[in-house]
Amino acid sequence: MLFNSIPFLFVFLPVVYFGFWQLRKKNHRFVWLTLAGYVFYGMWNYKFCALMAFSTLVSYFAGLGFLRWQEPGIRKLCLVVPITVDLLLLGFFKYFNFVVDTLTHLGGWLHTPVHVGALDIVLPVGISFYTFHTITYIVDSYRGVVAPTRNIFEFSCYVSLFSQLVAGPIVRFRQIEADLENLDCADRKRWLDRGWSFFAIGMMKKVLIADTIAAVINPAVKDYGNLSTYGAWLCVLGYTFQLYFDFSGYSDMAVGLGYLFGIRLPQNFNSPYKAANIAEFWRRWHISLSACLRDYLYIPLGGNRGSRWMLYRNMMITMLLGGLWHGASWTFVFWGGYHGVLLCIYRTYGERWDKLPGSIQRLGTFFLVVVGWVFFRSDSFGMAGTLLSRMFSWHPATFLPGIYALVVAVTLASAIAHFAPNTFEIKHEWRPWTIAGFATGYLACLVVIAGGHPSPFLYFQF
Amino acid sequence: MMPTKSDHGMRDGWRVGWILPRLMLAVMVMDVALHFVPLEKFAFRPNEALQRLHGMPEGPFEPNREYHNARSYGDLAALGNLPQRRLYRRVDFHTDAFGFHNPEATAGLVPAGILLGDSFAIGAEAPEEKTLSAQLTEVFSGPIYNVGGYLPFDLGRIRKLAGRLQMRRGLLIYEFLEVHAQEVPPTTVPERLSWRRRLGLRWLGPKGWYLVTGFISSLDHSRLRLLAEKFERAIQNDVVLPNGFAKNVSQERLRNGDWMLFLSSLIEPVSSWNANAARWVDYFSWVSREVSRGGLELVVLLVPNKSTVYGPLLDSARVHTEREDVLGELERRLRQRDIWVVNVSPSFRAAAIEMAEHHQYIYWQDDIHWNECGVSYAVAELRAQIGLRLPPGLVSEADHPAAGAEWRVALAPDCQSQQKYAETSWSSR
Repeated sequence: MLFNSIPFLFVFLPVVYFGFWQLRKKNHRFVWLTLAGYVFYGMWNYKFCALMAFSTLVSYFAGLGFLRWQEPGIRKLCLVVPITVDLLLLGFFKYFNFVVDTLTHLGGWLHTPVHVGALDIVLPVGISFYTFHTITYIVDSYRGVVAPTRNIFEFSCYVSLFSQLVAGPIVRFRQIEADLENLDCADRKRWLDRGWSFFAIGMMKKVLIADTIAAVINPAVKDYGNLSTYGAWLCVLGYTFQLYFDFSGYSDMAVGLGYLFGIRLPQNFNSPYKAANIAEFWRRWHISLSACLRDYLYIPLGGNRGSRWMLYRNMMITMLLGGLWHGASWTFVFWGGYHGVLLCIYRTYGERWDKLPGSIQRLGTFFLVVVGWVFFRSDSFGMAGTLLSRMFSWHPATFLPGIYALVVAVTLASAIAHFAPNTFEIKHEWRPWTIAGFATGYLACLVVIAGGHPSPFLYFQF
Repeated sequence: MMPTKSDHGMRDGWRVGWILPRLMLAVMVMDVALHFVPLEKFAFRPNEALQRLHGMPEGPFEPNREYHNARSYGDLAALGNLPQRRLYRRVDFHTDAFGFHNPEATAGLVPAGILLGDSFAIGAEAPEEKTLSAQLTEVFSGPIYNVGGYLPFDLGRIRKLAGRLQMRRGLLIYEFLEVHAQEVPPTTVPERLSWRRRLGLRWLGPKGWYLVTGFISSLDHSRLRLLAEKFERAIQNDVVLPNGFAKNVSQERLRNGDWMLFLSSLIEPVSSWNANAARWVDYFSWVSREVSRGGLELVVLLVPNKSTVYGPLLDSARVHTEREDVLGELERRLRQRDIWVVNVSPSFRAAAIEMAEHHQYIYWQDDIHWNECGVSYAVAELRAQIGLRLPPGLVSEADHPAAGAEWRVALAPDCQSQQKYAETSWSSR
């Protein structure tokens, strides 16, 4: 079920919302939200609910283990076993065929045939997200950053919270622990306006901007070999904004939904295209993932400690794995590596970069990010190479259907992304005329959703 | 209750948290209200306009209804959102008391046969006096009762229908489209009712159950969705936005320079004789055996896909012209089982070549379906192939099979109709 779909908006959300506020006790609300999460998830494929339930139970019992045992050996066991189980599940569903495919190719190059057949695996939607939820919970419990909960309903509610279940933000238990603890005291009206405001802004970002851009660039990118130079630039710029408005739109909707149920989810995007350097970009883009990679991978690897080369190594490992997290493809790994290299370069020459005029820094960072998205969008290195060659060598113009809409959408998106405050920066105290504009925009979204097939969010595939 | 002031000094009515949920409610109410607007206001052809939404085991359409549209057009032009390819034509469509497409004139008459099949048999794309059942009626000694759309075949329902129509003997003409050869035939054993249906029928009774299921399925036909889709189609015109629907349809050019639309998924004809095609032979043997017990003789009318007929005439090498003749093989195997079968594929291909020279067609250029000329060719073929073998009294005495030799000449003037429609279409304006 998608947020931008009629069943969600007209059936699921009202039922869950009114049901939730009818319940008074904390545990009842946990159970209700858990059930809602499983129904929401089961609409994709009910069989994968068992997988999520299994992952939840494993992590929950690991938490109980930390409460029960203080011996370092047993605690380490409680850390390693569930994380291994979670990662094995993620690895199997997401990376098995990728590994087989890579081995087969490698075997071909080395003239040593590898006889492992690929499996017909369906990737459970959102597995990367809820696996990270459970892993962060286990690690934080082990470190003593968070006190593991004894309440299975609370924990299952945290894992299966439908607003952040399939595409994040990757919420750590400690970030919403207080709100979960006070769920029975939540005030329905307190966050109502803010919640709807976030939700509507997210919806408009997704449906009116990201999907409009997608409608034009998707058919064009399919025929990427015939793009003109300006067509290639428009498509890549379009994708740059599509991805941002799609994912940040989803995050805003998730945050808004959280508010409607009295749960404050953290910020996931902080105007990333305003970043003046690549390190700042990563502090602004997909913040919940960047923070996870930093806290659970980069710092345990050694972080900034040690020699310069160790720092580079840690950075590259983190970014390569970050790329791989996005998808089982070498283009994602390359994209991660590309950003890793940029981060290393910035680490070395950052002082010089920082002396450049602010607008040049922002433009340069944006340019580097845009080039990176070519690899992120491409299905293969061949496609990425062709797109780049189309961008950086002259190819005469061919008509791009919908170009006017694309230019308008990209201009608008660019203005918002570069100059407007983001959803967390605005106060959400609207004047009547703004609310009228809101209502019109939201109505337009409803019309678009009612008419077409709802377009899935890009980050669902990761 | 008077509106209250909010924290920011604004009335409740001007708060996002107040207005947006109510906006959604208003949209919901509007959607429900729009359900009272007849579906035909939103449709361009009878197949959707008169479709029966509840699960009553009768015809596919609302009973005793009529639909008239002076500007109907082809389903492919609609599927591909290609208004410039629409060939506008008048459609008049009547349904009988059972919800089948039969003209009023045949009501109460004992039929000489029953025509079963899919949308080709329904015949929404031809004038009512030129549908397959109407043209077959001219051949036989009584009307051919059209139960097009009454699929999957259910022996019990056909027997019951024959009883209602007081048919003691006659033909069961089964129109079978080439694409179905890829599909699995229906089961020969009556399917068990689902537990939901059994419970529903027990608790609510047949009428109550069909009312409830009718209501649920009518929810699927949101008029608001249809309106929004119209808006979406209007802006997806390759200028404002690319036409995302165009991928559903393949626009091809014939060697005579004319355009022809094909369903993208059917542009490649059934490629090879497959296991499912073989199962159809067993299935038709079973149908033949069973219906003969009730005095009906089965005739299988094999109708080719549009791409099979026009593939060899395409200007491009897009469609493989060298392919296995699936319908020919099916015909051969059915004949071995002594089943009456008429394969119109060879004559259709020959006619398509001959008529294309005059820019005339047996399938609509903007539609998956045949036009009245195609139907006429099929009827003539059926008459020529099995007319003599029919039981005495079934064939109209005025209709002598030997006259079959003249049908090509006789049909030619009617087939200019496509040109006529083209003149009134958007594309030529």
